[in-house]
Amino acid sequence: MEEVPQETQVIPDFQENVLSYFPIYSSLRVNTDFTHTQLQRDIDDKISKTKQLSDDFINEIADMSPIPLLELCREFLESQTESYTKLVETKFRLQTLQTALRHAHSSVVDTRRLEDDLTLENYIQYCELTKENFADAIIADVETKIYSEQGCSTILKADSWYQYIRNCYFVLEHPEDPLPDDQVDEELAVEGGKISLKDPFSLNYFVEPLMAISCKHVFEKEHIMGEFRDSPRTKCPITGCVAELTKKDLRPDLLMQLRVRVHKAREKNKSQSRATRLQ
Amino acid sequence: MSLSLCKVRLQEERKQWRKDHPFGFYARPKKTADGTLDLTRWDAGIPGKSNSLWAEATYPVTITFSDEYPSKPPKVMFPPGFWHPNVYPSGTVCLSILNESQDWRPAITLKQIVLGIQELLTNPNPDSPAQEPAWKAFSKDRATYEKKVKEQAKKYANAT
Repeated sequence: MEEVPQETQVIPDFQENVLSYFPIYSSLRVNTDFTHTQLQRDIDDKISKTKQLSDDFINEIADMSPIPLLELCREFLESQTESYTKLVETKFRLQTLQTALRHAHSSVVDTRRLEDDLTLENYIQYCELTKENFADAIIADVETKIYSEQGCSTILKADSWYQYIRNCYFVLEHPEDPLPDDQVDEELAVEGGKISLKDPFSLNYFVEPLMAISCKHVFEKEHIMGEFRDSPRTKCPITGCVAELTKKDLRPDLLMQLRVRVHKAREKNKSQSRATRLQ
Repeated sequence: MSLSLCKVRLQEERKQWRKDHPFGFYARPKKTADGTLDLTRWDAGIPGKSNSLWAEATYPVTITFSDEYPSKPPKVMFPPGFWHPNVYPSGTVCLSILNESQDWRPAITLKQIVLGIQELLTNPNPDSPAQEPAWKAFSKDRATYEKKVKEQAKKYANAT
């Protein structure tokens, strides 16, 4: 049996030297896998159910004129908007955490290759190292992204279904009015303070309206697509608008579709009650 | 087969014009030989602005729409030999909103076209001459220009 040479074993003064950074032991298995497939699936499922329920509800009442139990409709649509917002936020948080962990994984692996395991010999060296621990770095990363809220509000702003459900009730009540406090709609073709529910090509009511994301002008799908027959880009068909459009700039305009439905139902109701009066 | 966009749009233009149009103007599709309306060819009248050289008269134009309308603009013509710096000897009007490669947009309505032409009558564009005599007179001999405009106004004077 060999004798361990005593003079090499230097015990550091632990009270004087406090370790702030801990290198990760090479024998430790690094598991940053946080896929949580089931959780993700649950959220997506709830999102699609919320959409379906709201769409079905709007479908039921859009052609009614007047719309019954308006106050209850408003409450329902508001609560649907709120649920949807919360689900989107949750999904965003989960994704942020996953991304942060994925980033951490590669940096953990890389660093571990370069750093020796902590021993009594190198303890003092590690004490002098001022470096953020991995766990702290991950938490900081996630917190800046989530609590800035910048991320999620940007996502919601660009989410066409969110914009739709959020403004549904207003449109049910005022199918021809521009959305309140919304710069978006100031750009729309407005005549006498009303929003035009007609396609600028055919001057007929929209059937399948598409909105240009750049200038917010709305066109009937069939007709604006015709403009791309000869060229992949076209000037916006609206007088005075300088936007150049491609097919990629166009999105279905659900709100406009709803405006047309509600407006038509009202017109029908008006002409019917006029007819009854005349009888 | 569904109606072409051109026909659908022109029917709607006609409906809107009948419902409401600017005072003093007229616009109606021409009748074909068998008495039906040809929505692609219209007769229209542009009144000169009051208190201008062009006042008290209504100038006739024909407006022709191609199958590609409203992607392409209609063609607007005064009678041949019409006296105006921006009207070709053939009568064709030279106006940026009627030029596909310039300011034409499918959203421009018939009402906007005729109002644009009314504006052009009193405010010619000296940068795009379409005929020699009226353009020369307009830029160099205003007295002759005005005399000719007034003569033309008499020719198309409104019935009193």
